[in-house]
Amino acid sequence: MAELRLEALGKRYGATVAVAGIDLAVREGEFMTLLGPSGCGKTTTLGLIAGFFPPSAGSIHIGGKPVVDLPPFRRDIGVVFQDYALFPHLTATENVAFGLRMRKLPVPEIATRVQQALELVQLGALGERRPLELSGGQRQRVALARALVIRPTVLLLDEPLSNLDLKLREEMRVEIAGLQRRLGITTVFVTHDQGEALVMSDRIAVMNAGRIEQVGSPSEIYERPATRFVAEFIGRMNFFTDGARTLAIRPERARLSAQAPADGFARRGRVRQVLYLGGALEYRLELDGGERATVEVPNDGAAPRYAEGETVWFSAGRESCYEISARRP
Amino acid sequence: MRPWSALRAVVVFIYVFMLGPIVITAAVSFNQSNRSQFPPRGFSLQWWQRAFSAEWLDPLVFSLKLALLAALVSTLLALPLAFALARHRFPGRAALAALTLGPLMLPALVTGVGLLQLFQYAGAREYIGFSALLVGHVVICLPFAVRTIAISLHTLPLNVEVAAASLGASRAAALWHVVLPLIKTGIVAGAVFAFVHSFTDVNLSLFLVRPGEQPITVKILGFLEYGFAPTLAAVSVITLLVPLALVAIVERMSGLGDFIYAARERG
Repeated sequence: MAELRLEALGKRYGATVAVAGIDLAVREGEFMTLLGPSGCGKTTTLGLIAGFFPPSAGSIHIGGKPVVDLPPFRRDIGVVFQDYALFPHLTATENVAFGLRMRKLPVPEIATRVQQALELVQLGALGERRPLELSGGQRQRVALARALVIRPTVLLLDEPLSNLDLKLREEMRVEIAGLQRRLGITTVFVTHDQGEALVMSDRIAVMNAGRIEQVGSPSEIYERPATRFVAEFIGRMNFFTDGARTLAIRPERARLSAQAPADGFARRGRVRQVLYLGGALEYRLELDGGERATVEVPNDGAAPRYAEGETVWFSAGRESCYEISARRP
Repeated sequence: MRPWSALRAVVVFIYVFMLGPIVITAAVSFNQSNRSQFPPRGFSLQWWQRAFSAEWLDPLVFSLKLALLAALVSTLLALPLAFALARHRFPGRAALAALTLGPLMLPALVTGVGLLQLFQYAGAREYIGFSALLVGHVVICLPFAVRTIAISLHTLPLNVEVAAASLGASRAAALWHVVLPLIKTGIVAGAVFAFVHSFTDVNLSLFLVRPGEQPITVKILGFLEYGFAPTLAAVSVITLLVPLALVAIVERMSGLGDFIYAARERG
């Protein structure tokens, strides 16, 4: 367990820049998520940390030591792959034991640690099964146990939940985050799923086109997005241009009213469409200037309802308006 | 005719022409007289007795030795070749691929004539016989071994090698503990194909034999000039059974059938 530091880390393939010189410090025991759309360089960054290919520029330090020149098998990094990459010819137990066998540990110690690791991921009874005889969720647990059993300095998770069905995915989110906190292991998690990122992370680094747009806690990222990209990529957002400024307002922070509000940001418009979401109602408006806006109102029985075609006021308090710079600050 | 009965007819047709010759040959070998009659007249084992004489056993053993060695050598050569061709981009890769897989397109007859001339011009006439046959058989068996191993390398699950590396396995350890076990059936299949191809070859072998050093196929062809005797039928059945038995044993031991018939996901 150690701090992980990336400095000016870059990777290019010919003329294509995959990672454009990023700086990132992951604290000891921290759960850091690299979040971004596909092709933003997050998986490449993970591969660079693991040492699967060399960087074009920059350095990587784990626990203060440079590791760029070390081959992957000397880095002591646990990796869980998107497709799990279990060894199909080995049983779950043998898969988990692999890393310890490579370290030439005594056989009794291997047996104890493998059993502990399998119990940690609640697979104690399925050790003799091969990957093909396990469900997707069970394979994922084997992959996790296999990465954890070597007691790695850093744990890397490459979209490990994307192959699971929705319900299992939501369970595993909580379980993996809980396990990570219990073990206190420095973790880098790669995902394109903002929901996963918000629920699981201590901090999130939002990536776009090979760069990091913003690093911050989930609430910082969601509530104080630094760039338009971050504001658009995470959650939904209404944008208003006001001269040189761009204002951003979350749909759930906006209000609807029949009369013009006393202060704050306000625009008049017409209800174009009402979507019934169960827990909330989503109003889609066309404002007088021709702009579109969305308001999400909780379905708590207290809020007045508006019909399609009705004239309404869209408004938000000053504290709910973020000013966004088009470029990075 | 309904589609199913048409299909059934085709299957019956195929089986008749595949199994018919074997059944007839086997039956002929039990004839009482020296004439190759079908259905056989009477019953006798004298032709089988003759088939097990040194005259026929020697070339049979020769063929076995040659095929086993050719399969072994071509598989050992095919392993690094398949890795290089399947995994790496390097100058001359296309040329190497063409050279390796070329003999597949070339009639073995041509390869045989070429090899014979090569051995003569190189002043290596004394190697004609077992050594020249081995070289020739390796050349024509290599494409089979390279192809099956390359195919199994391509079907290797993504990421298992990097996963092994992340768990502390050096490249050699990853190769030994992960890659080789996973492509094992491909290697065995390649070796079996090579063995069968070598054992059944006659085109190439014709040019590289010398007295006392000839495979069973060439011996059979030579004997045919004197007509088809029941002895030949018995020898043919033995020649047929040897590779068949070997394939059956290997198939049992390694699940080779999955590879040959691509029946189901392996693992």
